Amino acid sequence: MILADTSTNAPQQKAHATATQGTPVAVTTAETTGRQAVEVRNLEVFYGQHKAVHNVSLSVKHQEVTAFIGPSGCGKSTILRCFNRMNDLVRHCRVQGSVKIHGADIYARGTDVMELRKRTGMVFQKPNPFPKSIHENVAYPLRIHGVRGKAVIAEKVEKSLRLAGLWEEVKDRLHASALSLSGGQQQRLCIARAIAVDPDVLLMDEPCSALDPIATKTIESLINELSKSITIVIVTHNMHQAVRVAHQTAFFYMGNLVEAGPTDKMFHNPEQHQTLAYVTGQFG
Amino acid sequence: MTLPTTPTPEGYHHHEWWPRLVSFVAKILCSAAAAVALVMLFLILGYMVWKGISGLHWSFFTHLPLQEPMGMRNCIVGTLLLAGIASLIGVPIGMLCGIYLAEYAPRGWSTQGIRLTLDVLAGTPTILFGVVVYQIMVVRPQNFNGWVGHLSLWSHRVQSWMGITNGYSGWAGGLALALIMVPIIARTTEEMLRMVPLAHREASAGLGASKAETLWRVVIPSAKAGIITGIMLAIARVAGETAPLFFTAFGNDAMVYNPNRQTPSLTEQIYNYSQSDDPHWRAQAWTASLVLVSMVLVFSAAVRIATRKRRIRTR
Repeated sequence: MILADTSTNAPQQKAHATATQGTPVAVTTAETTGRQAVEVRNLEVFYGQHKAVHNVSLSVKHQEVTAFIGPSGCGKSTILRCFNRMNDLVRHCRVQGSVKIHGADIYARGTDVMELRKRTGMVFQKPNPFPKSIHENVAYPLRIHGVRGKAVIAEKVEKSLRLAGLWEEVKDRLHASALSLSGGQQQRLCIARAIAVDPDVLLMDEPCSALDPIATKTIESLINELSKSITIVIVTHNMHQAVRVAHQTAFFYMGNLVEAGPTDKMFHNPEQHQTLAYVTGQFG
Repeated sequence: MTLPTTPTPEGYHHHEWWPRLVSFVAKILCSAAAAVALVMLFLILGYMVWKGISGLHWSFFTHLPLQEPMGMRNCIVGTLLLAGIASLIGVPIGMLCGIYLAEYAPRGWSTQGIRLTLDVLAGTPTILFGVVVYQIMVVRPQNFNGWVGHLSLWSHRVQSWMGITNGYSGWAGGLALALIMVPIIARTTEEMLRMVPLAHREASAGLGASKAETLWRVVIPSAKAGIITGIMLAIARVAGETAPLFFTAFGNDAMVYNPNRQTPSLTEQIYNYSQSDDPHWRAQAWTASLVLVSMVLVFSAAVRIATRKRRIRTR
């Protein structure tokens, strides 16, 4: 569920109230009320003096697929990268406001960023497997998070590769270089790698933009499959992709959250004129 | 309605002559330069082989300089000993320095200063390293006043505490060579680490790896081949050094395994013998050159084979 709220004076209570009353912005199904995977409040991101994200508040519902759409430079990737604090690696990047994942404020003092990133997997725009074997790529996060024992690791690697739908294609060459795989296979390997340590949330930053339509289709059905057990946030340039995979969609423009809601509504009956203009291809 | 005419194949032909001439001249110049470099290299190597091969005999590897027939067993062992000591000191320091510069150093004038210093050191005439080590490790501290004297005195205290002789020694020679290696290895290591794509670092960080884990498990393995090449270059370079050894290891006609003694080396022996009036000795110098070059070649080839990518196993 996404609760869009761009007005600065909107307190959290109001958002909560809309959720329980089932007003148009917030869609509620009886038993899922209140199960928020990610809650963003008044998020602002600066790159040096430049303000890239303006006071964004939204919620991402547990075990659903949420798409972030918007033209290039609208801040959607920046927001995504706040969810696992990848922006910490960027020089002169400053984050204000709060981001809570399953209730815990990840920008609070003393947050274990390594643990956060373990529980919040990320898939990048370009497939980026390590120049290691297929097996070692998936075993890497297991090893750094203290999983020991050949058999245990082999079992978990197989499980992740099966989940990512790659096992049948690579089971006979697990020790071949990951770079020998095709682009689509590499991206599925990266997904297998990200889900190997059972994250709660999977962040995908335009995961199909470097892939051909067939590989894209495979990844999209994988996203549908994974969303049964993992919360997925996907940034995409491709509006059709949002329609195909996302339960919820949020539209960003110039660092602002314009509107968020169920994908169906966002594409057919949006409340904001800007959203309608974007989804009907009038700009962007 | 008229359709646009399809250009005929002839329509794509350019009849301008000068772009092709420029291209042709550039090609000729580049090929010629490459040919000159190769010809000179093979002339030198060929001349060395021609002059040196006659002295190549088993006794060269088994006998000592003052035995009959003459040999240079002690010099071969000495060169290995000196290069070994130099590598033990220089490789870790150089690599750590390169890792610091690439991964941890703050951006700014101080880091830029370190880089510039290393570049200058890499280009410094190597005799200077010999003189520096000579002052701090070889000469008795009483000979110096002021801070040089203090440095010398303290280094002598450390030396005696470590059981290293004051005076000419393999340790002093190894240290001088290590100082030559450090800037070369540091800068190549830094360059190689910088070449590892950001995507690998991001992937690792995104999986929850710490900076150190990313560095040791992803970045350094990716840069391994380049770093090893840099180390090999540095070792080959110091194996051919002569001047700094005159001030430090000095040379020896006897067999030396203990670096506390004056230590012989092929380069220093080549220098001494090539100055001789005796044609037999000069021939020995050529043979020693041939052996030295072959040693570097074999060593480089061995390291390349040993660190070559393992054949990909299927299961």
